[in-house]
Amino acid sequence: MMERLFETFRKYITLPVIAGGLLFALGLFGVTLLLLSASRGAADPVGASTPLINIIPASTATPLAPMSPPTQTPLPAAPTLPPLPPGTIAVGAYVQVNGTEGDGLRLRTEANLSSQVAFLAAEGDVYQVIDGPRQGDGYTWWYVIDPYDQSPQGWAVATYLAVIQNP
Amino acid sequence: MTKPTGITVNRSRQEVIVQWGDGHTSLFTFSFLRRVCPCAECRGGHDQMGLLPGAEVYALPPEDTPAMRLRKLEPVGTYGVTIEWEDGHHYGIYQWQFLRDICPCAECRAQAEHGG
Repeated sequence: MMERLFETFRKYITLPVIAGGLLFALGLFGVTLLLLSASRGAADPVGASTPLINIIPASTATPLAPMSPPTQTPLPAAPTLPPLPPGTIAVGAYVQVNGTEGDGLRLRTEANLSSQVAFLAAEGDVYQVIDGPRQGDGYTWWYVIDPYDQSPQGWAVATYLAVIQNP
Repeated sequence: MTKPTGITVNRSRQEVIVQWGDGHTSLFTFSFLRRVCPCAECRGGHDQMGLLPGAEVYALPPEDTPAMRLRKLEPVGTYGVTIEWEDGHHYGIYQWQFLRDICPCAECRAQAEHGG
């Protein structure tokens, strides 16, 4: 049965058919690449998500050196902070409510346990840190805000926040 | 919303120059940026953080004090920058839209005054 089927199709498997198939596959691959590059361009019309930051250092009052053959000196490097260890909460980071066992996390108006509860954040909710840290009642507090709807916001205890990558 | 394509911090001139994707250029003095710092501490509460500064701040002369000297400018995600000042203050996040809205050039000020 299988042999007969093979024999039937064998006459169609010729060099031009194989070459045509390969060309078709190459064409599809090219179209896919074109579509991918076009969609990237549309998502980020500026070209780069983060702008280039150029730091020009201040001039100093150092007196001019006596004439000497010019030497090339490396440009002063732009000052940069050492990267924070992964998982460290910082202003600008995205955090997720974690470890409340379903009870949710109270976002308070001040960085202490006696202040008003402004909002009850659900387990798994994602927030952005915009202020902090502050110390209060034995806890470290960060001011978090809902990145999509600015209204849920308040001071949250760091114990129940886990840093996540940009959502 | 237009985004910056380049930010230049010129310590000698105490200026930050922002080049925007639409071709516009904004020039901010260090002291202006410190005066309009959008953090809760400077603005008097978290509910004030998104508000634009009053017109009087544009008329104030530049000042050279540690509080007005920029120590470090760093990107925050893909939506803004944070500035650390020489007095240690570093809470403000200057989002792109905020920076564009406070552009002190005559063209932008005229647009803002006419509600544009």
